[in-house]
Amino acid sequence: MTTTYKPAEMMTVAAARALKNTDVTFVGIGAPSAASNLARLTHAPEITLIYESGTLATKPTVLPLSIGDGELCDTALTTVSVPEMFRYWLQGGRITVGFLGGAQIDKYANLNTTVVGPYDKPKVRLPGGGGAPEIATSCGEIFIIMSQGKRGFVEKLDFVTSLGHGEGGDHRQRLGVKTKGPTKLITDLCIMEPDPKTKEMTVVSIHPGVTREQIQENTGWTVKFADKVTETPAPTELELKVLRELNERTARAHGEAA
Amino acid sequence: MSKKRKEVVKSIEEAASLIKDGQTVAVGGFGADNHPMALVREIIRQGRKDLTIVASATAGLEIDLLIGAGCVKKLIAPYVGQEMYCPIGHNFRKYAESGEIEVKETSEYLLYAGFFAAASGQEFFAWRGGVGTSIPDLNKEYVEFVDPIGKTKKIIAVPPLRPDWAIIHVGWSDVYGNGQHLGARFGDRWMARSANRIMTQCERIVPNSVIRKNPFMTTIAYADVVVEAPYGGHPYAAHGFYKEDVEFIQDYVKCSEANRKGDSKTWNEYLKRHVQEHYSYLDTVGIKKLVGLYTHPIVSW
Repeated sequence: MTTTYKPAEMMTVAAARALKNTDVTFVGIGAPSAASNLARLTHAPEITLIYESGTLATKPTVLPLSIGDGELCDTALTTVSVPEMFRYWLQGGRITVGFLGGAQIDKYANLNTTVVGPYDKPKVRLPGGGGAPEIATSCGEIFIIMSQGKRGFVEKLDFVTSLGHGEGGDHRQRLGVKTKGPTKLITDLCIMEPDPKTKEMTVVSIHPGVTREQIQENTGWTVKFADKVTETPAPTELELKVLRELNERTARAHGEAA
Repeated sequence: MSKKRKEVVKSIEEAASLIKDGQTVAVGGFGADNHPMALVREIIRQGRKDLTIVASATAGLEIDLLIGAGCVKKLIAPYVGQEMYCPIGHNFRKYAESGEIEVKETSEYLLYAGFFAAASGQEFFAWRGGVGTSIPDLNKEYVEFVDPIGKTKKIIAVPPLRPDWAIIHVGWSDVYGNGQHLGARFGDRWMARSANRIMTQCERIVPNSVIRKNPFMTTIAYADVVVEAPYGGHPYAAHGFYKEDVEFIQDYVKCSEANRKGDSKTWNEYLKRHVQEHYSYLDTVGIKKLVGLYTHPIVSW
């Protein structure tokens, strides 16, 4: 492999590969949208993409800048109302994979998108939970995509906006939440999966050229590595070509905002 | 309740003046679509204060604009930002960090559950999302309980959320307040149903016969007030009429970011330039720009 690529492209490609042709995916704007459409345009042509604006089985030609974009409605099988989407598709158990990201994550993959610092006197106000609290508990499993860094990967969250594995172990079950929760955390450095027992996110695959030290330096807790850690295969030329063409089409359609 | 057919069309100015200081106003739309911007700008122009604003499930910068213009005392919103344009509304961040607005934390469906409870006159609606998060800890109105039937799962009881007004953008409406979205409806119908009174803003007033021709499309029946505001969603898209104005939204992001960083001059100039009587606003945007945003209609007459 001679083609060079950016860490963010590796992250998107790794996330795309995690999706199956049979998945029904709840897609968010940004990296999840790029990964889901890359999967659709490569190994998973029949994947069902659902966006929270209510669009079912949508096949956008360009990536949306906003969740309500007409592009999503106009290329969908149908568009249902947002409450219907949440009730009958999400909590109704018809979604196999949900994508989430956040400003902060802890080792049990709980996410914070609400505030950094004390709630009443926040250091940084974040945009809020959106639909993440219900996506986190209702999708069959959750893939999280986040760039790795000490500011975002923290020992303790200031606010739990969406539930990952809670305090670890069987915490989700104790709350009566039956879905799997976060099964993959895909970053620009590595892929982590929950330890089967403790549910602590554990490195299972490292992207090419990345060291264990680098992963630790960019994480606010002591990182656990699985007994067998593999190297993530680098993006193939086809994956890069399709992803870059998608991004170029998007930029042409929207201008510099994309 | 008998509903006698009554003309409810008002000017944008008259309509906005019905909303009083201190009232609770829900603002429809979703993401970069279908926000009732002509009404939002007029509310600001009339200097409304101390409003409690209920945002749509995915609010955009229409809420950020109201905050930055000083109209908001309390905000009930699951999210305020514009996704790929800017991950968080700059004025929202500024005012929330300084404590100048009170924020009620919620999630998209916890918001809807409140609308359903209000709309159906029920004590609460139940929802599982949000269990195990900080949201019910912080927001004591949301009460966690154990499912009384299976007795294992935790669920949240969400009390009614009843705005004084819902202001909603529809594609077209008749003079009696019967409106149709001509594309995605998002959560507008439920927001409207939860409110004491509904004010719609439409691209065009059409004869009642147009509405009657396709009753399945009627999304908001019996609005209390209707205003006609062509291009009234600008800079956002109105699905079925025109797309969003990317450049204009980017300009907003730039000016509101300046405000967050302490440059109130840039922000005040922005407000002066954009918070105008509706047709003067459209003049500012320019006919060439507006016509360029036109999209092929989904539904024909």
